[in-house]
Amino acid sequence: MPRQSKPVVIGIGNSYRSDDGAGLVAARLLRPQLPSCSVFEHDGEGTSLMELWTGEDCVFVIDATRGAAAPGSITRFDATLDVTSNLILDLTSTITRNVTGCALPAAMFRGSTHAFSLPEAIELSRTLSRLPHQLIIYGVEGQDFQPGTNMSPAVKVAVNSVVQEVIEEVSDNLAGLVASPTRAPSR
Amino acid sequence: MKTKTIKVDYLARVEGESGVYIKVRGNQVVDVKLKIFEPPRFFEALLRGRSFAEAHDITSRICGICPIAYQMSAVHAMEDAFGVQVDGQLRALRRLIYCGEWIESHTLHVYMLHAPDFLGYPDVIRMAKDHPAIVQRGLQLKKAGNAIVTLLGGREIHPVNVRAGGFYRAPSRDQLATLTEQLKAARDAAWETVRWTAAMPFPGFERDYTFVALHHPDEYPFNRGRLVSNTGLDIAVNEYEINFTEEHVAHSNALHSTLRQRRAYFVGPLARYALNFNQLSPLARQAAMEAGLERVCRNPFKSIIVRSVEVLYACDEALRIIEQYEPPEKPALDVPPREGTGYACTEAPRGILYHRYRLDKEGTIVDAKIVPPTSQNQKTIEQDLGEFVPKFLNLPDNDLRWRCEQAVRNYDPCISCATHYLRLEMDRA
Repeated sequence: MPRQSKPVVIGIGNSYRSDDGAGLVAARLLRPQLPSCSVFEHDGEGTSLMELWTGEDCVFVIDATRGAAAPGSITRFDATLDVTSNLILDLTSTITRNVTGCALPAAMFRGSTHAFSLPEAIELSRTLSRLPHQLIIYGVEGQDFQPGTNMSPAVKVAVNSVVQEVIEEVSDNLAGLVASPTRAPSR
Repeated sequence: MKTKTIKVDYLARVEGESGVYIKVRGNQVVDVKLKIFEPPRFFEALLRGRSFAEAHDITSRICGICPIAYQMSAVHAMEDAFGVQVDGQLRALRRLIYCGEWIESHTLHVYMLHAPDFLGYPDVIRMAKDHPAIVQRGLQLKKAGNAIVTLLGGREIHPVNVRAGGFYRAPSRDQLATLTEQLKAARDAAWETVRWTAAMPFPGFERDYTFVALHHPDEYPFNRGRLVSNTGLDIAVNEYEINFTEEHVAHSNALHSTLRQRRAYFVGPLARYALNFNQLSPLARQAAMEAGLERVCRNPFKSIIVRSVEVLYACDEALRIIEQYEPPEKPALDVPPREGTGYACTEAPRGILYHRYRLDKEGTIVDAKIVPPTSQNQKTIEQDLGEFVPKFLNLPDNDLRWRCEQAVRNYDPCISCATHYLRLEMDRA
């Protein structure tokens, strides 16, 4: 498939739920550093996520996770890998990555406050053939999801790491966009 | 590479605190405890010391699905405190943005959450495999609601254009007219939705509910009217706290709202419909009749049809408002602060949302009270479960859990403040 458009970045969360705001903070940090990308702050409602990413080429989503690992742990899911029955995770780097395709583990992303949220939006998009060409999810494990406006120290550190990771991935993507001989005009 | 293999089934299991506790002795349900809603105490505390002009923005963060409802209740309460009444085209624009929110919120619930229950699917993803065109129709319909909220609210997520007195910017006629074709298509899709939901299989379950909703003689209620019930209540909004009580219940930190004599009551689409049938547009009334709905519907499972009728009404009403729109002279009235207390109740998609603020002479919030619709329905949901569950006690726990979820989902419970959805704890002996 030809590479067509610039990456879209979506940070998900609730600023009044402590560490649940991680994705929003990441989006705010990324916006000035990625002037050529659309960067959205989002509350996690699934159908409007689908509207944001349908027809896009490459989308990065950053959201808080819970129950996955130690606070501040980072998980990277490539949601567009083919789904298999077992999820295999690469544990060799500081960021846990999925090696095989999988449905996004819904329980991890229940920091989001919607009954139809990110995991459901991904799977419904898959069913209706509305997934972007590439959809990368960065999960930041939170510690505290109680009402409040402060993030835990470990989560703040992790958010900065994710921001750097996304900047690198976006740069690689943009480089590919420039290099691609089959590139169609940007929309 | 060092790897670990994890069964997806295992990861998908939802951990968390109990949502529903059901105690069974023999074939009798002797106790039902539900915890789905945490009262917005954090926000009430956060509001103290803030300006009246910030309340609608702060409270709209309580619920990502109904930010407009929180904005509307907040600005109306402030205007009430300062003796300002918003009328004419500004009020029409408020009804219009509320139409957008109803379309979004109801369509999400009807298609993505509720329909799979009736069609025998565990979720909408499985339903979409067999019925992709229907799910696409739902997504398109919801998008029409998003379009209204985005245009009037300034943006889709956490709209920023609403303020006490009106709006920061009022749209031109041409801007609103861009919505017309999309809304006409949405109105057709909404009628299809009514027909589709009306044909679903419903359990024969009815209770003699006390319905409570806003009522206005000339319009289906969004943000003005008296609070009425089918049992004789007829009060001004500022008498809410004299007639309704919030009480702490021992089993959770949730609050239960009750009407006089600790009676449970029912807010939301079924209540609005029962108390305001004559105020629906002719088209919405016709669709309801064709769908076989009585003028009062006491089967909570049929709330999916009533929600669909309300979506049709909201599309119809939005088109009417757009057709008759003339831009107001100013996008907002002046709202000079004064000391006092302001009250408001508006009809969120899930039912009445009550706000009360006490303000000092500069318009700083001294204290705030917010009662969301879901906390008002909690006691009624428990009573529904108490009557519904005994019919299915012979089922294994997993099947019974699904039945309970279905009964709870009738109320489109707002789980924005609860992080885990419905874990069933069965205590059988």
